[in-house]
Amino acid sequence: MRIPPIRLLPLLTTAIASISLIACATNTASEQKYTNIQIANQGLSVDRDPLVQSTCEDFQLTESQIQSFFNRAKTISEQELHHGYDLLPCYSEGTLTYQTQEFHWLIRAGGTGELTNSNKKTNVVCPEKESGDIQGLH
Amino acid sequence: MLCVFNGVISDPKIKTNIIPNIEHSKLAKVNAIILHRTSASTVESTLNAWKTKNTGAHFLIAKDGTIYQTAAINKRCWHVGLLRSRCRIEDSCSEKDTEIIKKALHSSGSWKSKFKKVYQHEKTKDYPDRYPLNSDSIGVEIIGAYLGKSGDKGLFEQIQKAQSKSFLWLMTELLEHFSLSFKDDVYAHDSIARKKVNEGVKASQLLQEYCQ
Repeated sequence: MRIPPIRLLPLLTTAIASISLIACATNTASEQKYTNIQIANQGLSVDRDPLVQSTCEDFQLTESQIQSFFNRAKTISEQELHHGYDLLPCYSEGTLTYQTQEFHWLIRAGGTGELTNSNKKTNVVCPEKESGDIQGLH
Repeated sequence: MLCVFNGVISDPKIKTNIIPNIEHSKLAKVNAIILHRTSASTVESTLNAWKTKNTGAHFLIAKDGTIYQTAAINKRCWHVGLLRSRCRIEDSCSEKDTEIIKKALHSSGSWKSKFKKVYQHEKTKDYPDRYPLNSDSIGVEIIGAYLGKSGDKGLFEQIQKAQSKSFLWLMTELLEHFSLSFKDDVYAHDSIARKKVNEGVKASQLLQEYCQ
């Protein structure tokens, strides 16, 4: 599976690129690539420290935020994720449909995430400067 | 005994492959060794990645057991990341400590800034009251892909026999060279920083079993 890059259509001009970004933010047809978004668990923590767990409880995302996240996310390798990013302990997870296939999604606080099914795992990142408007993600 | 010249070890068992961009300021004192896994299955991909970054570790152990020294042991490498609170994990925080950490975690600002505040608080402490930092530790990376299907609790590729042999030899030499304890001064990366849950755990167990 390949995460559709946000700049796939707007190779043309900066103006079109801007329109595309706005479209993402306003949940138009371009945001419908990921459908049937189900939220299974919110505000989880891989850290067992009760202080961290209580902090992570605040990590709550809406369906449209999840959609925006994956629409804007860029794919990175496991190695890039491992060496280039701190993996914050807070995360939410669920399922979604992309191109008729069901995937398990996971988003960590701080803007990293993944999509997995039985065949494939795709790591993604949404840098703050490109997704600062997804409230509560960063 | 290791023969070291300007931070570079001269030994037929170690291949010198210094990557200047992962070497940073002077590493004056080594208090600990941190065990890492690469999340990549080949030496080439890791070395190539390090050549374009400023993060990396001092040693890299290939699947065939080849040990690469990639940074001088008198230079700091950026290999630790966001430190976790030692006293929280070991249940030894003072009330004041707990308050500071609680305040940091519930502060306003980005998620990263919350965990960074905890890290900055830890940095004010002396080792071993805190976990080791880039400024007082050596990093040893063992080649191995991350096998987790989903999330951060998966396992890494098994450490190969040749890797294990080289790893134990290198650790024995480094522990002796820096007068460190295998019990108290060797850490799996995940146990001290915000990384995959099992990073370095198997290597740490391997060392404990070997030394006991």
